Amino acid sequence: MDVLREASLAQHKAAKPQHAVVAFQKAFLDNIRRNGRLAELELIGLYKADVVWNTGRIGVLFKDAGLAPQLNKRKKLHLLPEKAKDRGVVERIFARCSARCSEPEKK
Amino acid sequence: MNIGYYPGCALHGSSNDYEQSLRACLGLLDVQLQEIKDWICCGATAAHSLNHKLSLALPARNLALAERDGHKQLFAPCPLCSMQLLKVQKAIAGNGARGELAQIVEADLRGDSQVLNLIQVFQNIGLDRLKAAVKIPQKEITAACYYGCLLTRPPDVTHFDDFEQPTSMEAVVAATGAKTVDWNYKTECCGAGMTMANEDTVLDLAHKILSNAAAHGANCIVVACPMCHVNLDMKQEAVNRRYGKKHGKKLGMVVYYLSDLVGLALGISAEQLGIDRHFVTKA
Repeated sequence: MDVLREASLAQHKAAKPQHAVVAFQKAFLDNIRRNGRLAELELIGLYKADVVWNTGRIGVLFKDAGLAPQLNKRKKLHLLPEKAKDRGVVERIFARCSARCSEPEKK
Repeated sequence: MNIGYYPGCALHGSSNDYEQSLRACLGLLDVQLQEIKDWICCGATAAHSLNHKLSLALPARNLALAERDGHKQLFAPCPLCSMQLLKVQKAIAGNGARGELAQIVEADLRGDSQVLNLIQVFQNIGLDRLKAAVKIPQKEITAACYYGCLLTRPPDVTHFDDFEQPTSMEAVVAATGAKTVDWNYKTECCGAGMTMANEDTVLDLAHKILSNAAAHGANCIVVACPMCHVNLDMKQEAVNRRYGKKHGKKLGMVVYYLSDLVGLALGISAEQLGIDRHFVTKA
């Protein structure tokens, strides 16, 4: 299944209804490439911006917005996320494994 | 006992209540967690969906860092992180990927650290020792033990318990004095990382899991995975909004980490374990 997923992405044949899933996973990996560890708020922001830009679904911006204060109350929101110290090696690992995952899809 | 510890991003992010619970519970059992220095994300579902080589390289770097620090055992409390680490070990052993991966991650890679999930850590401590340490038997608890997808699967990678009818978590829960139920969804998927991108599916799956546990007489669900906890605890209000009318009442199912339940039995308070930071704190 993973092989088929990877191939469909490389050939820009991912099904349109799956755009949000592909956008999320690409945003996730780009986040890791930059930070070494996941920065959750940054991921959510960039993922939502991608979905709005590519699908025009403005409503996605407000989805789960009500959860933010509840997460904050429970000390589960981190405005300043952790980053790996050696982010250079993370960049190089990504480069050696191919740049394919962050290429934009053809419109 | 000192063991290497790979927290993964979730436990240093929005699932930091899980780490709080682990440190409180395992600390009392004299298990000291030694975090790998400068660990990186394992790539999670995104890497193994989009880029196979990356899905091996990212956890391989962590494995190499753990070996460099001299850890013979490496505890990864997130089953996805744990499975990714085990996948690297399998790749190294099976198809000679060791040299290429070592070059990619710029570190020596032996693949000889023993990767452990939370249940295995309790097994290593010893269930008899656990029973002897119990101060407050959890007699009021009737738990549905939820393994999710990745604690036992894929079986040729995890080599842990029966991958369709596992019972290892029930044994740990029984050591706390709690009861467990037989139910239908203990190894079904909760939707995991699809919470953001495909919420409809997650809510449907979470509803099935929560309502099946309740129908079989459970008063709580016990998990050993941060993503399962998010989908069953944080999303429970959304599940109730969507499916509550169907049942005529809210589900109100408390979802404990396995270390929460053990910790309560050891006499640690709910606040020390971080249970007060869950979304559903009482039935």
